[in-house]
Amino acid sequence: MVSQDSSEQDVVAALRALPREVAPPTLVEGRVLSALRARGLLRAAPVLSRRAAFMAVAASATMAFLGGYALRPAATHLEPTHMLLLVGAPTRELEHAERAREYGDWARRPHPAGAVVSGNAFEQTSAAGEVVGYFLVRAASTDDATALAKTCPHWRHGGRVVVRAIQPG
Amino acid sequence: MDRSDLLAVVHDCSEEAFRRLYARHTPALYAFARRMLADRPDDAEDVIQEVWLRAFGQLGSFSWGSSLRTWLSGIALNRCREVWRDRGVSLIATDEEMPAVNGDPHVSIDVERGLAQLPSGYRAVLVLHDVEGYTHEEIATQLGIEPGTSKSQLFRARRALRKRLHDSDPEGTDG
Repeated sequence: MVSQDSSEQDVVAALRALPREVAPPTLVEGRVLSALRARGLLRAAPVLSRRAAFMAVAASATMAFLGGYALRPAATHLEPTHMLLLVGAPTRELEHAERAREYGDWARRPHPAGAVVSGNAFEQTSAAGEVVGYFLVRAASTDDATALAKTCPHWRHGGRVVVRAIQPG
Repeated sequence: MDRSDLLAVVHDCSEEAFRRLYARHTPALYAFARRMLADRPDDAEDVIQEVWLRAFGQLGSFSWGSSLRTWLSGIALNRCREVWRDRGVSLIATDEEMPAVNGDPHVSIDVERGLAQLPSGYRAVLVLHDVEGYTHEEIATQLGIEPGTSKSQLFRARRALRKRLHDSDPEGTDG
């Protein structure tokens, strides 16, 4: 604020005192990253060391044995904007380890429409049409999250994917 | 620090390195764009996206003789000029473009709001000269106007902002 008897120098001083940095909305970063990935200018997944890759596969196998699918996405540092609910148990017969790897590969892969932050399966259920797992994703809009959801391997296994936007905190 | 991250981005498409560059430079670029386009702040978000996309496309022309921040700011300013051009905004502003004061004219308003109420041409020279520290010659080059025009615009812009900040004279004789 500037007092009423201020002179031009006060105006200049007030301008020079303005903050030089303002944090942009967090979704802007997601939009920039998506656009750069879509152009093939960035790789979303960091390169895993051999040990880290071995540990990831071992964790996947362990979780698959338990009936779920372990995920090790690249973007766990991102704040999710949407949840993808995996509805319906997969009907296609696959070994659990193979399915876990397929879901995990999809989660780690660069996606033009957004990034997968994390995900997991719920406790095993048998009722048809139940929600069996989820992915948390970061996308610039619900349209982008829906585009991302359409590429989820859950569709190929006979399930469907429901997109829900997360209320900003 | 910028150099190693930039090389990692260019040669390895490293998202991790890009995120560091983004975090280091975007807040200043966003503050700049948001002030330049203060009457339509949502456009500043588009400017940020365009700055980084164009920066990737023009990395081959980047010279380490200038700082990365300066180079990115130049791209941001160019994008702001395009926004103004698309909106048919002239950067040679006049007092006639000043909107009427809304609300109680005796109540002083903050500087950011005052800037937002100025014509784009006034706001541009104020932000570039008084906030960002550009010289009149630099402003003239960047905006495609004469240095003398930049000086006269700055004089009028400061007067207009001052009047905006504490307009206690409804007859408009302040000045």
